[in-house]
Amino acid sequence: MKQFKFLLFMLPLLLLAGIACAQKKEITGKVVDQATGMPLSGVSVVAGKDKAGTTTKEDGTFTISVGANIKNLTFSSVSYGTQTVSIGAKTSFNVTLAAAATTEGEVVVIGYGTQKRSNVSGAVSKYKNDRIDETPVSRLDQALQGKIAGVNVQNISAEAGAEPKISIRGTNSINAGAAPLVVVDGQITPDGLAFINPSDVESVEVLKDAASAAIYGSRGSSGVILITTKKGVVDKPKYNFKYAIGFKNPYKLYDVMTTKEYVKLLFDEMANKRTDSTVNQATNTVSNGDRASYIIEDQLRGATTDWQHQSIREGIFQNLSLSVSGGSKGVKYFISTGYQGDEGMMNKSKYQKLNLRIKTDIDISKRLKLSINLNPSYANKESPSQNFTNFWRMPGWLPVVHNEATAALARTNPLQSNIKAGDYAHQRHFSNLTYSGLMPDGSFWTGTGVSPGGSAQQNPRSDVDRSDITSSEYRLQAAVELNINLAKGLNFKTLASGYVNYSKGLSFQERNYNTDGTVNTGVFTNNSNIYLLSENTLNYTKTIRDHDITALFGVTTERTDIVREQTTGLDFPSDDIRTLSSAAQIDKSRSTGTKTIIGLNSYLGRITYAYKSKYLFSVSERADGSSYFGPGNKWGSFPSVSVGWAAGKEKLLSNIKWLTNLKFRGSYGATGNNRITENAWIDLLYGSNYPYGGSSGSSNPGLITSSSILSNPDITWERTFQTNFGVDLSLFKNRIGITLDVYNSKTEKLLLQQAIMGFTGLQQYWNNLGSLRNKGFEIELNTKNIQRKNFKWTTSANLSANKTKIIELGSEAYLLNQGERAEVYRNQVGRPLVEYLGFQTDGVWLSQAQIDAARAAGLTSTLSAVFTPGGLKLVDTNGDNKIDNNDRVVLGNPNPDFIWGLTNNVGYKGFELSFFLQGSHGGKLVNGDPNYNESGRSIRTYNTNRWVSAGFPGDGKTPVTRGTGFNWMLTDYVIEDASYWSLREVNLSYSLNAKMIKRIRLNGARVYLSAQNLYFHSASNYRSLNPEGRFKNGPYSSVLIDGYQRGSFPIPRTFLIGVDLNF
Amino acid sequence: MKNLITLFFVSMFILTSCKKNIDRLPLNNVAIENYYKNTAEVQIGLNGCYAGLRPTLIEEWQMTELRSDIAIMGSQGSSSVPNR
Repeated sequence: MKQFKFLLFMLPLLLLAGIACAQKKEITGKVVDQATGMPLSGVSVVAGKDKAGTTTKEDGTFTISVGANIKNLTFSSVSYGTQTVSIGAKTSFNVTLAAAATTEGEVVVIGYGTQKRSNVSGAVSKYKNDRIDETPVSRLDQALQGKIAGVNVQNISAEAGAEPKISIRGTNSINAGAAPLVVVDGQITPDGLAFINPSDVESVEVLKDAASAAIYGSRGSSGVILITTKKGVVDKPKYNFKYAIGFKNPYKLYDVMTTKEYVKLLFDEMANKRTDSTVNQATNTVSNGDRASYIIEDQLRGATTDWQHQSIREGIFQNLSLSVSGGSKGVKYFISTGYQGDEGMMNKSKYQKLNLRIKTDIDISKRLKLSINLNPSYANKESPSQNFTNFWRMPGWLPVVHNEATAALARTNPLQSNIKAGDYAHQRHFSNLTYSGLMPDGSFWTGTGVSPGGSAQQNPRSDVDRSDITSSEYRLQAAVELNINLAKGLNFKTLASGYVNYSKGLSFQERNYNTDGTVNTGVFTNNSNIYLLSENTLNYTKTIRDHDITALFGVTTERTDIVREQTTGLDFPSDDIRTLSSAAQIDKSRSTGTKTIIGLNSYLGRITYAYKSKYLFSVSERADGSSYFGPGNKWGSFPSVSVGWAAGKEKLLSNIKWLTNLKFRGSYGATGNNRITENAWIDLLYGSNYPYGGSSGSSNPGLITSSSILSNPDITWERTFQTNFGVDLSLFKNRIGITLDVYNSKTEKLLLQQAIMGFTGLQQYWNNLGSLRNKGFEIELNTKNIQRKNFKWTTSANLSANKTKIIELGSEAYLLNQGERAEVYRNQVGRPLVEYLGFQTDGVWLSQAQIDAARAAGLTSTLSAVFTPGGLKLVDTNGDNKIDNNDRVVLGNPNPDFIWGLTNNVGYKGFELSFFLQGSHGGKLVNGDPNYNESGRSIRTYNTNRWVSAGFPGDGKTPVTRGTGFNWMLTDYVIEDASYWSLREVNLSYSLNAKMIKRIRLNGARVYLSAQNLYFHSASNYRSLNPEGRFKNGPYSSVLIDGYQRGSFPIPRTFLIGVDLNF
Repeated sequence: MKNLITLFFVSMFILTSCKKNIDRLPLNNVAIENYYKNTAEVQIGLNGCYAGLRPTLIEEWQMTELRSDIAIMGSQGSSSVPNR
């Protein structure tokens, strides 16, 4: 009935249109892309000064009727800009449009709204790439590495689906979280970069300066990453199908010696040492253990084990996405599904992700718009239980599983009489046995009670095969948004959004998994995170002649429920039954649980003003009230101000032909960090049960205060104040675009633990004490080098540098922190955030004679093992002839001097080649691997270069063994350059031309080859496999103990082949 | 139109009245200020104090008897002569 009414209403209009047409002429034509010659659909065609017109069809054609007095046709599209042609007498046009030469019309998402690029006065970077989903990585954050100036993404682990470390403009917190805030379509989603389907991403904006991020108030101090997903446009349904498959393998592995090679080397060294008069010939021999290992590999097995390949495999990488988008006048939709399967290159490393997104925009009435966004997703992940070090440090003589000969040997120990061929072999199986066999020099040797290997190290393959570390995540992001147009220019938006993340994990170790007699253990984890958001904003835009005014006022309420539970079950009847109820015991000491509810109420406002897009001005304010803080400290205020001056639009400069645009920007703002330790403001009672009687006695519940740290009711936000200056410059009709930003930020009120007087009974209390400074600059450069019809070449580059300095650490002048090998990390006021403190070395002591000479000259030391021939030679840096802790100097810091990315896109007809280079320079790392590889004696370069005797000192730099001489980990021997550059991504694609596409009845078809890490260049003194890798467990989770590497898996190299079909 | 404006202001009002949202106490642990309100709670608090005294009783011998001549030192599996 309603429709009928509508039609009736429309009838007169149609008639009117018919009358009007009579006076017009029909113009037809076709619009194609200048570079590719492909037809362009959806380009708006408007006659003269009319407001309405038509749009081009799928095949790029259009038909428009124009009045006789109309002289021009205007073609416009968001990504192609505007072009006007005069009509004259022609009735048919073929128009070629070049991809937007201007960024003027570009719209930038700035948080609670959008802004024209030309009016932006803060530091906002926009990254838009339709092919971001073709990057051979499984997470969006990995694909963003090196793409945006000021955003440092570091892939600290090569495991499938591993989270990279991201920082925007440095580190500005010590005890609170320092990761940027991630916002997906207006909803705060902390793990948004992990689960989002890269195919769904329309654009990624990064709010870098405090003035831009201040609208996110108490959570903006580490920068904000805004992800906007695609939505439908009024058009026929458009389908897109993409599928890519490929494989992953390691870029580089260690050159490891076999045991045979190694023992042969030892025999050669022994023969050499016989000719050296400084060597005590009584001890010049090859150890029994090494001789026994030679017999096992050479005579019992006749083979060696390549332990690296016991960890590494060829992983299959798959990426599938299917989407449909379109819409009629009233309803627009975007529906997509995606699957990503990333089989890591390590055994038992896997990441799989399934995504569905339904996004609809409905015009309920002229004034009422409803948007619904649903995104359920599922991910599962599997991780190997052993790191890479534990593989390659295994000696080659050790078999993965026993063969008949080795099992028979192991059975000669009556305690191991049950070992049979096929069982996992451990080094301890070969201990205290009798060995006899031929040696490399042809002699026959017999030894009793010989142990070729240690007893502690487990067979890593047995460990990985018999333990499973799995987790599944179920996520749902759902949002309903109602937009009401209250008056002209005045819109009210109410958004109700929820994000639920439920994850469960099971880490299961099978019975006897690495040692006989260990019970099977299952650690069950259940975590749920629920984020609820109600956001109400009023948006006002008004243009009065040359004055552009926008105003925003909003109220938001958020609630976050976090529940974490972990239960550990022991002794399951079977390894195949992994339910908690079947566990014979629950290990209470490894069972924990927490529940937290966080509330946040906020008011926010922003006013922007632009005069002729020339003088720009913006102020914003956000007030946040959080349940994280105590009464009286709940509310914080985060104001900002920014100004801009488009000098290029001034008369004086607008005459300069080559200068297209010049804009100066300046901003100042305050942001906060509320991710502090929970409940630092209130003293709590903790469980302290009192057991009565003996083992059968009962336990009485008790509660007591915490014994280590006192609360502080005045705890408040960490606050960052940042000043930013920027210049946007574009030259030669936007052929060259340059953006430069410099910033200086100070974070104060850092949450630290401060020592307190003993009479309180406690040692420390929480206080807002510390202060950090971040300074740096960022350059973005975009050029269009060649813009021909058939040949196109564009370049975009970015470079950024940041320095983090400690301004204040409360009452402390410096902090010295130790890592797992007692290596020292210093945090000193007035110095970079983290510095490695250790001894400088000058090669090794070449001989006892050299040591004697140095001692005779007066050199002494209070430290142990300083004077050992073949050991590291420490430098007496302060020149007092005494080597002690005062000689320790700064050996470097983990922060890179600068990072960069460079993308080149070259298009020739249907071919397109894009290659992306990325690098990081000047950072240092502490390499924990030498501590394992060089004592395990497996690395060829080490074994051939090391000191053997005074007569055979090797290269004079490589010490004899780890156990001899001064501890390597306290010296610059393990400090290495973490700089690298790499050919990160290469994408070569071919698009079928219009004729071919028509024949196969598609709208577009492309095939592409994509590769990652084709070339990776690391510094010459870097000894391990992945300079990006970092160890983040235990003490290293603190930002004050940074830059340590151990057990990193090699860099993956990925090759993909894919198709991209539009129909 | 008018309804919408009222709706807006009503929603604003509802939100601002959500003071409860940010007045929250921890859920993992009891806050001291809300405890020790009745006999049972004081009893539980006292149990906690006793539990705190237990380690002292368990370790006290290390400071006293262990250092006297009535203790025999020696570790399991060690071949060294005890109390040397």
